[in-house]
Order: sequence, then C-alpha cells, then structure tokens
Amino acid sequence: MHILLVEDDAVIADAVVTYLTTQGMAIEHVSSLSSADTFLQSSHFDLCILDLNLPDGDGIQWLTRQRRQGHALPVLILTARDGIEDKVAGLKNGADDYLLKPFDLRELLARVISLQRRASNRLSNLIEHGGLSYDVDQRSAMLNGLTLSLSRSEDLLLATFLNNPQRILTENQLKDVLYGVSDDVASNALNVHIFNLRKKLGSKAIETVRGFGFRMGNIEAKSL
Amino acid sequence: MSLRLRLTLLIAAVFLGFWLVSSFWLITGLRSELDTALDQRLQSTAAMLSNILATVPKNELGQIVPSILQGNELGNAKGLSCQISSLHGTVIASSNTHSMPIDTAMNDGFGFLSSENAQWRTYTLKTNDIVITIADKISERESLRYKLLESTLIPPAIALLASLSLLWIAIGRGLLPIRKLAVAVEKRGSNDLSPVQLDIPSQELQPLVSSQNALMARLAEGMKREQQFTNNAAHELRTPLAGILAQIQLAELSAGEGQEKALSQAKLSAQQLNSVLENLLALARVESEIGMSPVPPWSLGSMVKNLGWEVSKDAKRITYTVNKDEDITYISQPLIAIVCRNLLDNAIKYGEADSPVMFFAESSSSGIKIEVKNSGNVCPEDIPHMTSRLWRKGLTKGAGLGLSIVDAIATNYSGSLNMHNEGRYFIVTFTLPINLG
Repeated sequence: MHILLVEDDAVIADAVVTYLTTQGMAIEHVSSLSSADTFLQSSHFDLCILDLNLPDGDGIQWLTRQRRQGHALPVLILTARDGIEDKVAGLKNGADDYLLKPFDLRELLARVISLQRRASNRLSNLIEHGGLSYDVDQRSAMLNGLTLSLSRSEDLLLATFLNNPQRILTENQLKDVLYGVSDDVASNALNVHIFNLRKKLGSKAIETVRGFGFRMGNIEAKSL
Repeated sequence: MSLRLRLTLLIAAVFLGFWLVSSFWLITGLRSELDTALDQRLQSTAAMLSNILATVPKNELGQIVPSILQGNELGNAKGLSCQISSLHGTVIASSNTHSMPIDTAMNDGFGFLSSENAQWRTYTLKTNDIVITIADKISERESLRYKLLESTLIPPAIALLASLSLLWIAIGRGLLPIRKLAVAVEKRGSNDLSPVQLDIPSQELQPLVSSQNALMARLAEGMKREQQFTNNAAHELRTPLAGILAQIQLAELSAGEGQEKALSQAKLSAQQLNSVLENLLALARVESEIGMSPVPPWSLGSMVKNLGWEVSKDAKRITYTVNKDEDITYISQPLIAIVCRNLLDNAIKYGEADSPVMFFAESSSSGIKIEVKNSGNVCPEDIPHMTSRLWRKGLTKGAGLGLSIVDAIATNYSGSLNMHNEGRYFIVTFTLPINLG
C-alpha cells in the first residue's frame, strides 16, 4: 500500500514511517500541505494520513478542497485536536477516519488496513483471487493451499495488484509503491520483481497492458 | 418578597399611619366639640324654660308647665327630658317619659344621673322660685358619636383601599422594565453570554443593561481566548507526547540501531515537551507575580552577564550594550531575565542565519528599556499575531509562547512591547515605566 503522510512533527513522522514500512507499506512523508499537493499530482497513493495543524494551513480546509476537486483518496486524520467540533468537522469534510494523538502504532496500522479494506469493498482482510489467498493483516500469501515465500517488494506489488484487481497500474505507480517518490530506481528493477512474481504465481498472474502498464491477471485454482 | 409587594406594603404602611393619626385627631376633636354642643343644648334649653316660666304665676305652674314642655318638644323618645321642681324639692312638672329618675337634690350646673337602664347627662338651673333640670341619655350621645365616626372614617378608608389598589397597579406598571429585565436574565442559560435587549427602554436601566452586556461581551471574548489557549496548549503538549510514546513503542519493537534511533527521537520530543511546559509555567508565574513581596535591588548589567551561556553556541553572535544601569526595585530580576532570554532566543532562531544580534538595555529614572535587533524582516501582517499564545508560522521549532510571555510581563507591569521592521532589521523594544500602577 502506498501511503502519503502529511505531518509536520519530525519525530512522529519518523515513528509512523518506520513502523508502517516494517509492516510492508510504502510511505511518503511530507511536512506541509503544499508538498502534499505536489506529491498527489505526481504519484498514486492508496491512503493519506493527515495532520491538521500544519505550517502552511489547516488540514480540514485542505481536505475540503481536495474533495471539492473530486479526489476520492481515503484520508485518515491523525491529530492532537480532541474537540468534538474538530472531529465532526473532519469527518463531515471528507475524512474517512479520525485518530487522536497520542496513539498506538498498532491501532494506526489496524485503521489503515481497515480503510484499505473499505476502499476495496472487501468484507475481511483475506483477499482471494482464483487459487491465491492473501492475508492483508499477516501479509502472507497462499497459492492453492501452499504458503508462498515472497520478498518485501514482491509482497508490496502483490498487495497493490490485489487491492486494485480491475485497474491498470502504470510503471511509475508501481515504482512509487516499491521505492517511494524520491528514490532513484534502476529501470529494470520493477520488471525483475514482476518476473519473479509470475514465476511464483503463474505466467498469467500479472498481465502486461502494452503502452499503459500492468494488471492483475487470472490465477488458476488447482485442487491438491 | 417581590419589589412590587415590598413597595406597595411600604407605601400602604405610610398611608395607613397618616390616616390613623389624622383620624384619631379628627375623632378626638369631634367628640369634644359634640359633647360641648350637646351640653350647650342642655344649658340653653334650661335658660329658655327659665325665661318662659318667669312670666308664669306660681300657682299656675302645675297646669301650664306640661303644655310648655310639650310645645318645646321636650320629653321625646330621642330628645331631652325635663324636670321642674320647687326650691323645697316638690316636683312641679316632669317630662319623665324615658324613665329618668326624679332627683330634686341636684346641684346647680352639669352632672350625671343613673338609672337601672340608662345613664343621663344633666344640667340643673336654680332660679329664685324653681329648679329646672334638663337631661339627655348618654346612649343617645354614643349613638350620635358612632354615626359621626361612620360618616367621618368610612369614606377615607374606602378611598385608601382604592388608592392602594391603584398604587399596586401603578407600581406594577412602573416596575415592568425591571421585571422584563429579570425575565430576560432568568431565561438565559448559565453559558449564554449573548447581550440582553430591553423591549421597553428605560433611562435608569439602560446603563445597567449596557454595562452588563459589555461585561458579558468581555467575558465571552475572554472565554473564547482561554478556550483557544487551552486547545492550543493541549495540542502543543499532546504532539511531543505522541512522538515520545510512538518512538518508545517503536523502540520496544526494534533492536540494536533501530532501538537507539527510536530512543534518540523520543528524547527530542521529550525536550520539546519540556520546553513547552517550561514556557507555560513561566507564563503562569508571570501572571501571578504582580503584588508579590518587595524586590531586592538588582542591576541589568549583572543580569546580562549571565545571559550569554543561556543562549548557548550562538552567544558569540550577540553584542551587548547596557546604559544607565540604575538599581531596579520595582520588578524582580527573573522576570526581566525571561524577557531578555526570550527576545534573544527569538532573534537567534528567526533572524538570518549567523547574522549578528544587537542587544541594548537601559535602566534609568524613567524605567527599563530593552531592545533586540536582528537582520531579517518579518511580514508586517504577521507582527500583530506574534504575541498570540502558541501562534507559529512555518516550520518553526518554537512553542509559540516566548513573545506571549514577554507581552504578558509588559502588560502586567503597565509596560509595552513594540515590534517593527527598520530597513533590513527587525527590532523588538520592551519598555517598563518606573511608576508602576
């Protein structure tokens, strides 16, 4: 999952980035709303974690503006503002969830997964696709009942494809998920990971849509 | 007891008192006049009979007197009774129709006579030949007095009751604006600070309403500011706390280098939290310092010497100038040290990097002046907000309390804090007059 974190406190941001990265998520951190705008224009994100008191404006106003412009990105507000008026304003103006500081990192992760589940219209954290089942919570994949051993990059790619089953994902979007926006990535690194995934899941598991990108393909279910 | 009832009872008591005193006076006077008039009636009747009987021969008195008495309406049921007797005590004639006892031994002049059924007021007149006694019943006199009292007291009493009723209504009407004000105030909840509007304008109440509304407006403004401050303070305290807790949790989940990094990050947040707390406590101290015990004399020069180390590695950027260093006894040294430290801290943090900071201090007979000048301008629109508590702009690391504390000290000690751009410099001037209010 590719997450945009908008947080001006470096210590909190560091904790969130470190923890969510260890949980297999790709996370971009920005300290201001203007940077968030820049990142949203240039990359695809699955979720935004938004602080409200930011140096260049108010998070709720920014969110209202985003929704007015038609951006449907799920947003979790992470703030120290505990007033009921703030919570109501946040949720009314387009936030999908509201978490107060101080917070438990595990709770943040659970809410992020829950938002992702809701955004994908799923009822549980288990994604099934043909013979493949993927546990978002445990980040474990099984193919026809056998546990798959995936690297972090393969895991990230698979989760992204499964969360967007009908969508064509561009090369850049997938690179953002794997390496973040600012990282300089070798041009064939993504193709290597996709090749490895196809090797483990089957040649048709990930389809190449020429000129556009990649899409989740069919995975045959085999009885053991 | 309502104001209306209280006023009505008070006025009624005054009215009733006047009425009772005047009635008592009137009754006493009338009673005395009535007695005198009735006595005179007895006396004049006796004199009239005496004159008539003087022309009657003695031997004809027995036959003529009854007709004279009848002719003068003596002996009626409610009129006068008469008795004529000789000097020897023989009754010549009597209009003894009301069972007036016969007493021939009465002295000359006024007197009283009693029978089993009644009392009589008498007047006896002795001539050379006869004794004339005229009398009237005391009960008749009392009846007359009672009727007089009725006609004298009842109309004023009715008028008094009518006046009090009208007074009750008039006071009610007069107090209507107060009642409306009371209802308006009563209707408002304890948290409602909206202004009170009077439907009926009242010259006397308007200043009270205006004053109350102004007070409520100030209170609302103060509560709003306090609420804002509390929210900001909560935010400023929660944010580093969240950082500490998140990093500690991360440290628990990590090992080795990761754990060390998390703990070092937690320490940064702890320092930030400490700074916010220190500033909040300083603000609380400043606001409670007014009117404390006498201040021992101290000087700006000695205080400034101890400021260098407090602003750490950037101390070399600061040039200090202290003029007219007179002893100070009207404000404590720690408060002015806070002023200097916060102004220098701001100049170093927000001025141009590595640029010099000029510090100027003066303590004279007119008061204290502290001026800090640094390179770099501040956006003029931001200057009014700079003394707001917890106000920050941009990615600054401050808590937004430093200048609020300086401003609070200036305000509490009738001083001033002035901030302005001058050329390429930003200058902050703190002044404190010696004549403290």
